[in-house]
Amino acid sequence: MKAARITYIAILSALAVVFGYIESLFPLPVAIPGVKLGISNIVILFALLKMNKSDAFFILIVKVLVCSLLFSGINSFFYSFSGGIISFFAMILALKLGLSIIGTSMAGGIFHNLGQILAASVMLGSFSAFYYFPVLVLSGLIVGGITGLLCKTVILRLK
Amino acid sequence: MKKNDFIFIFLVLLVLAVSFPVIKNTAKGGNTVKITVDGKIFAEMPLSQNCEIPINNTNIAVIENGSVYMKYASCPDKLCMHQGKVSDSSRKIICLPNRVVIEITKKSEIDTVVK
Repeated sequence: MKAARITYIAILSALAVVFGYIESLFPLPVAIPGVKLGISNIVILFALLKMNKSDAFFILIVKVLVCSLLFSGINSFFYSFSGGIISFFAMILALKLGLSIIGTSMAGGIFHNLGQILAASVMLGSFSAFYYFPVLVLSGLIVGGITGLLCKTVILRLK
Repeated sequence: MKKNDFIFIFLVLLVLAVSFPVIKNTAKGGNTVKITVDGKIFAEMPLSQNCEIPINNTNIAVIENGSVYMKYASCPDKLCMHQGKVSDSSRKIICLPNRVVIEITKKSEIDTVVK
């Protein structure tokens, strides 16, 4: 592994963790579990577009592990993990299908929430959590659109 | 934004348009508060009877004037406490950290089934 690549992975992992921290400071005033901004997804999407899949995956794993250990408690690890993984593969698929950065981010947001619903269904042992399905799909779409726009802006500025 | 994006957004909105009424329609009036922990039924109480129900030292549910709400939760986010009062089956109170689900169901005429 080249030093430059290691450095990039380290910087982006740190950035993703910081975004996760900032987000934990400002919980959205919505009483629905799973609705959040997901700004650290900007970093994952950026890594997917500008680096390669394995690097982006590594950053995702570091982010999920460190964030749930430091800020949100081990309880949330299972949710973030399944959400993160499903969202990651959804974004790769979205890029393959020729979606733009914003569309890819929307897919990421929606499937992150879907992954959380699935994790909750396993944890609760019932499908009660699917009650939140429409709300979480809509919030994933909106929030994913916002973070996708931010990611696009970042990529344009870095040229 | 490309053409594929709009196709994707359209598909998502279609899924929403279908799933929203489906989930809303499963909502019916009920008369029983059903509390499940870890997918197992913890307690079933009539909605008409005002009482406080402690759930495994982690949560406290309160039935008051025909609606139910979560009075206390041991988890840090307290989302279930902010979910407010629920009086019909269109909404549920879910505490993910403690795996508690409170919902309102219609109690069947049969009290118990002996196998």
